[in-house]
Amino acid sequence: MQRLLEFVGIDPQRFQARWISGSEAAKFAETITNLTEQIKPLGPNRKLRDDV
Amino acid sequence: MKILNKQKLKDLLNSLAADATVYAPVKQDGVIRFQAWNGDQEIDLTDNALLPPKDLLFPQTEVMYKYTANGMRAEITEVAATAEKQVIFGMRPCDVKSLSMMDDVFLTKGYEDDYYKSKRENTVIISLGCNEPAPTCFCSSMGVDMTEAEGADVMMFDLGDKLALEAKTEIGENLLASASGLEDGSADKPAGGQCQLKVEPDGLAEKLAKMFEHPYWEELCRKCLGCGACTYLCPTCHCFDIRRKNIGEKGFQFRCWDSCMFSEYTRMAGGHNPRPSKKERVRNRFLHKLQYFPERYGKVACVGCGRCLAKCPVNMDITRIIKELGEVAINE
Amino acid sequence: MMDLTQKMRDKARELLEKEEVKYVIGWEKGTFWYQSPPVFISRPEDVDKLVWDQFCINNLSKYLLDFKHLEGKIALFVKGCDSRGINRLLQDQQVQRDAFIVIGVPCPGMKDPEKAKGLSEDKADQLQLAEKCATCTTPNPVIYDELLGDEVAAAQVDDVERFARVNELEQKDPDEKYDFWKRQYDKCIRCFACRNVCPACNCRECVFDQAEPEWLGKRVVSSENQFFALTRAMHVAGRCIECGECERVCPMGIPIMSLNRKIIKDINNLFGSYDAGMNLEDQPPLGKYDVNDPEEFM
Repeated sequence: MQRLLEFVGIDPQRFQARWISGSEAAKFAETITNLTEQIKPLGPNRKLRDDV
Repeated sequence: MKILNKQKLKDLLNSLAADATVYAPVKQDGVIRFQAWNGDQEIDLTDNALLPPKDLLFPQTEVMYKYTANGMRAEITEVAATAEKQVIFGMRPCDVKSLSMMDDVFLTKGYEDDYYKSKRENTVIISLGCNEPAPTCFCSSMGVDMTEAEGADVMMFDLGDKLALEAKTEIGENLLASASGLEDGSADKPAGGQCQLKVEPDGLAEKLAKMFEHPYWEELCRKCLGCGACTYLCPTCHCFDIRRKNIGEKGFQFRCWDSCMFSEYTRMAGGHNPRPSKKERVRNRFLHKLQYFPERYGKVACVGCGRCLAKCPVNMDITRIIKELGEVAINE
Repeated sequence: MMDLTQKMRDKARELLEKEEVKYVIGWEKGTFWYQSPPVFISRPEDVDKLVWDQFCINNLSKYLLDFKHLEGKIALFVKGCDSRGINRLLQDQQVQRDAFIVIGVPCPGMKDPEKAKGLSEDKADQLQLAEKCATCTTPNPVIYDELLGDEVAAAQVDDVERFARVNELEQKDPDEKYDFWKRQYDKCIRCFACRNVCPACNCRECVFDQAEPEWLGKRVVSSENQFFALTRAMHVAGRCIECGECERVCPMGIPIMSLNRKIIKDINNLFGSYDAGMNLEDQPPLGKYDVNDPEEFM
């Protein structure tokens, strides 16, 4: 999926796939925090969206 | 009559675009479609557009109104605006004829569809006569005159390196009077081409009225894939669905084309589907065109543009089907 | 090919006369000389409709789903690519192997009907192979009860040729890629021909047809069209048999196989070379688990 999204022109920094089980709350929080930090400087994504 | 050197086509379109949006057949990414003229596209007048210009009057997706939810109440914030002036350049006589059927559906029998009406009234049509119909064309069997499109404001003829334009209505005359690139002149109207395919749909509606349970439909439907290519490329198919899109507190109501070939087309809220299989859907498509529409509006809902048979992946050919329907025996 | 046409007719007549099957699915001549659409023969006297020529391009395997509940058997003719569709349906447990008879026909490659439009029939020899056939590695059926005619030599298609369009797109920068696919899928009219013809699209109810919940919005706009494209591509990932029918039937000329081949290329790199539908034993790589699978998302 990651490779396919790259193939259609989505910036690979904008998405991640991670395997996190229901008991790994800390890992989940950490992953989301890190991803959010990475994404913020990129600004809003305009791809795969419509101008409504 | 006005004559236009094809090299001055851009001048003409630019001058028309001064006070209206001009739509013309443009070839892009392999397909000819009507696109808004931006001053710098390659106009393709060779073959008819793959998609008929019906979406300029009846868009595939059209927002009807927007709303904001406020507790238990909803407030309508914006209703689709009245259409702006548009000129459709290079519309073929078959597609012009299809508008008479769209008009029947959206403007007669006691209900006028505002969305359609507003666009229709603000549309000027410059039709291009056909000198060389495609092998899939059968418009002459459907009452289309390739050199004279009834309902067009301007009739245009291809003279090779020139185009001849003849105003047919007052609106058309005014349009040509103010357009650039045209010279006064005269030319012999080209004879119009010959369709290779011919059909005889007269009297079929009466026969079909007795054929609802005929085994023919069972055989006919087998190869159909149940895709909607035929209906979406058809200039006369006009079915639509109305849906809502909600984004948080806001949302909008829109309508979009629908196809009787799809399984969910007649599926009801409880899950029952009165047209459960390909047979019922294929039958409906042809009965609608050849029986129901003629019964209601007095004309067959097909203009012979040949798009469905050109693009059907399994060669469902409406001309063959009309012939076969005329030939099969019925038990009365 | 004339010879094979006769063999097909003889075989079909035999099966129908002996009442071994209810229907024989093959190809017949269409409206124009460059069309050989599917035909369903149920009576021995109709077998002369059957033809085998250079335009029998339709993959017939998907039609088996229409006869799932038929009492009695079906016989169908298959080319190499069609036969991989049969394996697809069997492996996905959509059809019972004993419910149909497969008659294999070695295929020299089909001609492109789109290119034949406007040509006169005597120019038929000048036609090139259809694009989907030019990179075919499986001209001979891989599953059949009986084979008509002699096997043909498979063309040597290397991965450079097979993935040429993918490789070219991969070289573009992200914005160029996005622009390319947006333009392509802005053409999409959502007729679902690609899905309906695909032997890997065999769900009883397609996710795109569900109204509640509505996964795919009915608006024909960029976001929904691209969501449709990507979801379908991922759904057939590892199961696409590369018959190329999706791209052939697309009325708008969208290069759908470039998406499918991109996924095939990646699967080959990640899980080792795999061609879907070649046999019944090898499970699709995304449908099985192996302790040695790459775990780049852990």
